[in-house]
Amino acid sequence: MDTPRTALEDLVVVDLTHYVAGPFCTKMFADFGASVIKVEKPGQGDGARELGPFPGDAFDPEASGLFLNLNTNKLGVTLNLKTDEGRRILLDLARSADILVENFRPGVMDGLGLGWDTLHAANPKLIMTSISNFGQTGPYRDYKATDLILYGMGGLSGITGARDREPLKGPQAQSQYQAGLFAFMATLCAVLARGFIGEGQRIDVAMLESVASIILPTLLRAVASGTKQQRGELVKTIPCNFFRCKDGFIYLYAPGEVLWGNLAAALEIDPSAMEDPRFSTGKARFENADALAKLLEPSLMSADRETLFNKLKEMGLIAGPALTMDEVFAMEHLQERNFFVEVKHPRTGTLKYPGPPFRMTETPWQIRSPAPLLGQHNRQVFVDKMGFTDDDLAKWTREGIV
Amino acid sequence: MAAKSKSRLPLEDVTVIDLTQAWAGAYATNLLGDMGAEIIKIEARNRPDVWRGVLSPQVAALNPENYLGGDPGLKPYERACLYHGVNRNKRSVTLNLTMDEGVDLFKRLVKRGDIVAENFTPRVMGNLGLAYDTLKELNPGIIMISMPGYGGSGPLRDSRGVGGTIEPMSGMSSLMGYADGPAINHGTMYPDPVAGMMAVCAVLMALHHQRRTGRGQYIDLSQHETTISMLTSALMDYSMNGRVGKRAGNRHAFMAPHQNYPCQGEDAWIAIAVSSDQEWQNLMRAMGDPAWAKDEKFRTAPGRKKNEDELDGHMSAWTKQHDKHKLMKQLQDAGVAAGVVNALGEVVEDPHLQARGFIETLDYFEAGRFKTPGVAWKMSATPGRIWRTAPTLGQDSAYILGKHLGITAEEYQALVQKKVTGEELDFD
Repeated sequence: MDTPRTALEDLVVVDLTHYVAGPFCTKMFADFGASVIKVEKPGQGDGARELGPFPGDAFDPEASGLFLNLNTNKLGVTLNLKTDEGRRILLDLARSADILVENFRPGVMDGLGLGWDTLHAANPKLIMTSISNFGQTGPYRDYKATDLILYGMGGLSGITGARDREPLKGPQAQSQYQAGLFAFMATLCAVLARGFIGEGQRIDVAMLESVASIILPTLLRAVASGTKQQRGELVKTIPCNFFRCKDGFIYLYAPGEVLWGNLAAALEIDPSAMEDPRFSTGKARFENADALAKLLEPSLMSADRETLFNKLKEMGLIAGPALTMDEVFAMEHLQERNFFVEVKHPRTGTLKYPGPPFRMTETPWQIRSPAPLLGQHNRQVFVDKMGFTDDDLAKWTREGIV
Repeated sequence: MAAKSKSRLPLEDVTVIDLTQAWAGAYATNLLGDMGAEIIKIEARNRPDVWRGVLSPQVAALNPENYLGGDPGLKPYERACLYHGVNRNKRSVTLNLTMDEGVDLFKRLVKRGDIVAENFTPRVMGNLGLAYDTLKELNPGIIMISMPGYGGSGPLRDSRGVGGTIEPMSGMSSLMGYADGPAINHGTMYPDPVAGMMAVCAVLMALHHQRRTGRGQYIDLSQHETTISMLTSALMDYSMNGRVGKRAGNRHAFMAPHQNYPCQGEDAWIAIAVSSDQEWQNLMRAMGDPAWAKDEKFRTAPGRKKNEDELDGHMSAWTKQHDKHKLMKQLQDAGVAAGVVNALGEVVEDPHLQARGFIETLDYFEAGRFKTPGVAWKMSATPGRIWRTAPTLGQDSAYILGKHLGITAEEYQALVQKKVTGEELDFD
């Protein structure tokens, strides 16, 4: 048998998603070889086009960094799904697709006449994946939410931040990235299951459940032991936290007496301090965190993050400097692994993008094309692939259908 | 959704040989197990999963909060909460891979498997004589995934990493924290579940490819790179503008209010996010049109953003008078995005999650029954399921070696005598 160049090249995905969660899911499909047809609203497109960042901070819906990274390798078409003709064309697309992914509010697809029953009747093999804040069922189904709200309700904010201050969420809409990955996994499971059940199925991914799922062990520990995890206190032993050093912050990981002893030696802490009852057990160190920070301060403040990291690494200790974005891009390690890749886009020119999330030897991740301009592939999809005529396309354009 | 007991499972024909420990790798195989794959979790009697925690009941008793029911019991390594958090739906087999017979049994299992998953540091599998090139000779269809902290190449290849140190090195921590405070991590080892999810993405694609071509492959996953892959805006802003993001607490680039506000009671909070003028008007109506909001400076979104400190002061003064649950309902009914900040123990009591069947009550043998998040997504025809909580050490050794390799009860006993396998810890 021939070796496919990509893992998913036999799959066709109709992509009705916007913003982050859905596009991140379909980016995984596209970057690993599926043919992804992204359907956007004529004249406006995916809302992520308006969010930026933009080069030079100049607003340009064709140059949003968020949109450009989340939509690589996709074909872009426009279609007004609120018109009969638009809906008919979409159903035609769905007839020859394997997967349809959407992240509208629950009920919107039904309202457009594109609900599961209709799609399933049009193409019994189609897998329909829906991503929403709270899922397609349940009392909060129609509640509004943002990442901040999902992080809080899912349990992750309550444990993040400082004990005496407000709970914190993660950076950059993490709940949406999490849900995007769950949607991708679920959809691939449905592709594999289709091999023996012979049909597609409906998938319901709730972002709130994504957040609650990723903290499974942390959550079970609280529930099953009946104890409350205080905010910012993941483990009741230190050093397992950030310390200030000469040029920023570094996370030191030394749970247990052996690692603590090694760390103290590496930092040349006065051996008599090791006898001090305030520092003699993990629990004692935890309860005397301020005193411990003072004890380590002179040594830490005399070194920069890189020197400390290398020194501790040589002694078999684990540490993590808090790197800023410029430092991440400059990491020799990532450069040697060619993690960042250059992508050329007609509006922005060549920019560095994050590269393969993991390396597959037989079916590698690859960039074949940048994110589409709004409606860039209308002709290629509607005329070349679907067999409509240029006249049809011209008429639809006049009527605001594409 | 179809009845759980009768339906088929999407990965029911998949066999995973699982050498992973702790969180990231074990979460990956936990997710595969939820979807019906047979997960053969391999540990050694003298080297159990590090997440089983301390082995001595006396030492374990110092931290009872780490154990099911708050009680480490006589075998604390069977009751560690974290271990139970990512090892449901698995079979436990012990094998000593430093003994020739252990390696031989492992290789025979590889011939029967689809996936080998491991998260040792990169040299370990080679040292055991179990590198991918060796396994591929035994089974060309085998998919092997390695998921160390920093991947299988590059100058940090042999550096150890844990979630707590990988998160700062991914750039994520420098973007997190209070505007006036230090970099922080998530309140849990966030890079672990991220790597676990990404590993499942990789493995499912490799399976799809294997089912079509008969060919396996090797997957090199760096937990550091998977964490970076969860960021877009900050990476692209640096790439486009050379700008390095700042910590801003819960604040948003243009939404205000956008904060967790204090409510009645100890450590009680509500998240409120206003993304449009309509929502702002809805919020003001719900607050009873307070006088301070009439001020011109709060009329537009940019004005609210510019005067956010003052705005947050007004918001907090109001939210403090309310119960967080009642306030969430009141605000949502008024068309405002709002949600309670749940403590971990409150998540499993949430009525919405319960109504959706997401929360399951499971039997943790003599420790009792506890509620836990169930399957992470819903599938109409082949939903996943939880058929058992985490196994005890070596619980399925005889069953799996018999089922896959035809080892008889007598042969099994001989292997136990030689300490190749068994069901008890052994440090002799």
